[in-house]
Amino acid sequence: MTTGSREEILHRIRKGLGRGEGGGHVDSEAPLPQNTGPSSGTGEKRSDLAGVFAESLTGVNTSVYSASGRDAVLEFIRSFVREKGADSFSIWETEFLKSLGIKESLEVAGLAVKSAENKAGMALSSVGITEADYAIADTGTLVLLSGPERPRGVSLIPPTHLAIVRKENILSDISELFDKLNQLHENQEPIPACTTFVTGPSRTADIELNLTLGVHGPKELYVLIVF
Amino acid sequence: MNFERDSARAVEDKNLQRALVNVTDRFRAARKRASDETPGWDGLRNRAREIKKQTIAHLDDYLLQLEENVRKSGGHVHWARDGEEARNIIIDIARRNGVKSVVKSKSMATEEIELNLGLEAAGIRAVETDLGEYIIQLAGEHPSHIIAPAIHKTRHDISELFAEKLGVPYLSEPQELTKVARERLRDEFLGAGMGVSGANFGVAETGTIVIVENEGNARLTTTVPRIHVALMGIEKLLPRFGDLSLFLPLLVRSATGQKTSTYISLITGPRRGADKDGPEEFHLVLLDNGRSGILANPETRESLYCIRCGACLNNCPVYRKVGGHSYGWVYSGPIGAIINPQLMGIDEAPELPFASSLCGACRDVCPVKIDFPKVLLELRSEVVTRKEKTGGASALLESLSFKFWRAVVTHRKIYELALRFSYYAQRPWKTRKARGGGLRSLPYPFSRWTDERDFPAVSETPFRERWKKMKRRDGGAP
Repeated sequence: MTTGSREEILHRIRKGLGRGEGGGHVDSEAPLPQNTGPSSGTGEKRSDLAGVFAESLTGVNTSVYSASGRDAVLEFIRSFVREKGADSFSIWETEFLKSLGIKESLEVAGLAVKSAENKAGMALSSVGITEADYAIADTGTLVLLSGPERPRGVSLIPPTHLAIVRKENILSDISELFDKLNQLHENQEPIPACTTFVTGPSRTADIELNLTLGVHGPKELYVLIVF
Repeated sequence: MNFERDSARAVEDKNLQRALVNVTDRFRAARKRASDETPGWDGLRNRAREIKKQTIAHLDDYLLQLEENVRKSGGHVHWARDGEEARNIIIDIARRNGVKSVVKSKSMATEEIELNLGLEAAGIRAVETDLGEYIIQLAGEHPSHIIAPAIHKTRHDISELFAEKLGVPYLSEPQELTKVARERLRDEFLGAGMGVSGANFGVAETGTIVIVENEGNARLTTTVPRIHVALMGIEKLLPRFGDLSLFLPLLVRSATGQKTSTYISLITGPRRGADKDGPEEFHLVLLDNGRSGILANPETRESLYCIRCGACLNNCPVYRKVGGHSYGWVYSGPIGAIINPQLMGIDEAPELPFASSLCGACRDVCPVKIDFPKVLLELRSEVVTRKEKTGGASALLESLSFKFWRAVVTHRKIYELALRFSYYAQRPWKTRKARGGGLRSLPYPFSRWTDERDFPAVSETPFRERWKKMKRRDGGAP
C-alpha cells in the first residue's frame, strides 16, 4: 500500500516541478545559501559569556547560582535539596557528575534515588539533576543530549529541574551551537536519539494569555554554573 | 464552508472580538519587538526564503534523503497520499501494537486529517495534551488560532467546562485550572500506548524531526509512550541540520515574540540500544494531501514555503475581526486564505481568496516572505475563470457588468455622460444623507454595498472641471 503511495507522491512532485523521473540533481544547482542564524556575540560579550548567560536565564524565570570546586558544588546541592524539602531525586550519570559524587552525597543525606526506567516512580521524585552538554548565552538555553546515562525524563518529569553547566560549555549563540553539533556528528558520534533545548520552566498562556508555569514539565528551573 | 455567514456571526460575538484584539495585539507587539532586536532580521528572512525555495524545487530528492536517514537511525517511514491513507496508517500501527489509548501533542496536520475522529471510530481513545487543545477537545470544538487554539474561550467558559466534563468544582484562576489539567494529563501520558505528534521541521541530512513548544506536552508525548508517531506535511523539509540555526529563531520570534521557545526537541529515530527511556518505535508519516498539486503552479508554489508561525494571522485586519472559525477549515488568516482552497480544491473554498483587503501586512511580517497578495490574486483569477466556464446567471451578469464598465470608462464622451446621468439618478437617495455626503442606502443590487458601508456620491462638478479651473487660476500646470 505505502510503496505505491510513495511512488505516486514522488511522481506527482516531479510532474508538478516539470521534471522527469529519477531526480537527483541537487548538487548541480546553485548551492544553498549560508545558514548562519542571528548572532549577538560581540567581542565584549564574548569575554563574559557566563554573565550574559546568567542574565538571559533571569529573563526566563530561572534562578542562577555559581560554584567553584567539588566541595562548593556538593555543599550547594545539599542545601538546595534541604530548602526544597526534597526526599527523592533522579540524576544523569555523566562523567562529570559522577566525578563530583553528587548521587552518593545525596544518598548519604537520606534522599532516595529514582530510576528513569520507572516513569511513574520518577514522577514522584522531587528533583531531577542533569548536566547540560552546552548552553547558549544569548537565549539562556540548556542543550541536553540523550544517551544511556542521560535519560530524557530527568529534565522533564520531576517538578523541579536543576541543571549543572560547566563554564567552558557556554556558547555565544545558536549558530555556534550548531557548528559544535555538526562537528560532533562528523567526528564519530551518531546523532543522539533526542537533543533537547530547554529555556526556562514549562509554561503556557492558553487561558486568556495568562502566564502559568509548570503546566506539563518542571514548574521550577535552577541552573548552577560551575567555574 | 460559508465565510460570509460565519464571519458575520463572529463580528457579533463580543467575547470573541475582545479575545481577538487581545491575542493579536499581544503577539503583534511581541513579534515586532523580537524582530527589531534581532540584528539583520531582514537578511535572515531572505536567506530562509531562498533555502525554502531550493528545498521545494528539489522536494523529491530531499524527501528520499530524509527517508533514508530516518531508516538508518532505526525509524520507519510511511507515505500517505491523502488524509484517509494517513489515518489508516496510524490506526494500523496502533492496532498492530494493541494500543487502546493515544496521547497527542499539538499538530495542525492531525487536525487536517481529522485523526481523532478516525481513531475514535476505530475504538482508540485519543487525548489532546496541549492545554489549549485539551480545552477545545473537551468542548468539542476546533482550534481558532494556530498558536493559541482556545483563545476564543474566557476563563469563565473554561471553568464551567472543567466543572461539567471533569467533575471538579468551579475554579476561577488560570493557575488552578492548569493544575487540574496537569494532573489529569499526567495519568493519560502514563497510561497511553502511543504518542502522536506533528513536526515543525524535518531535516533531510540527518533524518531528524523537530518539535517546538512551551508546555512540555510534546516532550512527554514523544518520551513516555512505547511508540512515537510523527505526522509531517511533505513541505516541512529543511536540507541541512545547520539550517535550524536560522529557522528556529525565525519561527519562534515570528510566532510568539519569545527569543526562543521553552522546549525544542530534535528527534532522530527511536531510543538507542542502552537508553533507559524514549520510545522503542518511531514512525514518520509523510503527508501529501494536496501539497504536490500546489507545486504545479509556479505562481502559487511559494504557499509551500510556510513554516506555520501564525504572524500573518495576527497582523491581518480581516482575521482580527472574523477570527479563525470563519475560514471553515484548520488553517485560518492569510495562510488559510491561500492554502485551504489549494489543499481542499478551489471549489470547496471559493470565498477565501476574496477574504482579504490585499493590504500586504501578511507579506511584510512573513518570515519567508510569501507574497500573499500575488498568490491571492492568482487564486481569485482561477475562481473567476472557473465561474465563467461553469456559466450560471451570476457569472454571466458579472462578466456583462465588467464589459459594460470597460465600455464606459474607455470612451471619454460616454464616461462624461454616464457621470452626468449618475448625478441626477442618485438624487432620490441623496436625501438620506450619510457623513461626508455619501449615499447611505441604495436599491438592489447596489444594496449589497450600502448594507455594509456608504457609497460616495457623485459630485455636481466633476473633478476634470475643477482641475481646469485650478489650472486657469494658478496659470499653468501644478
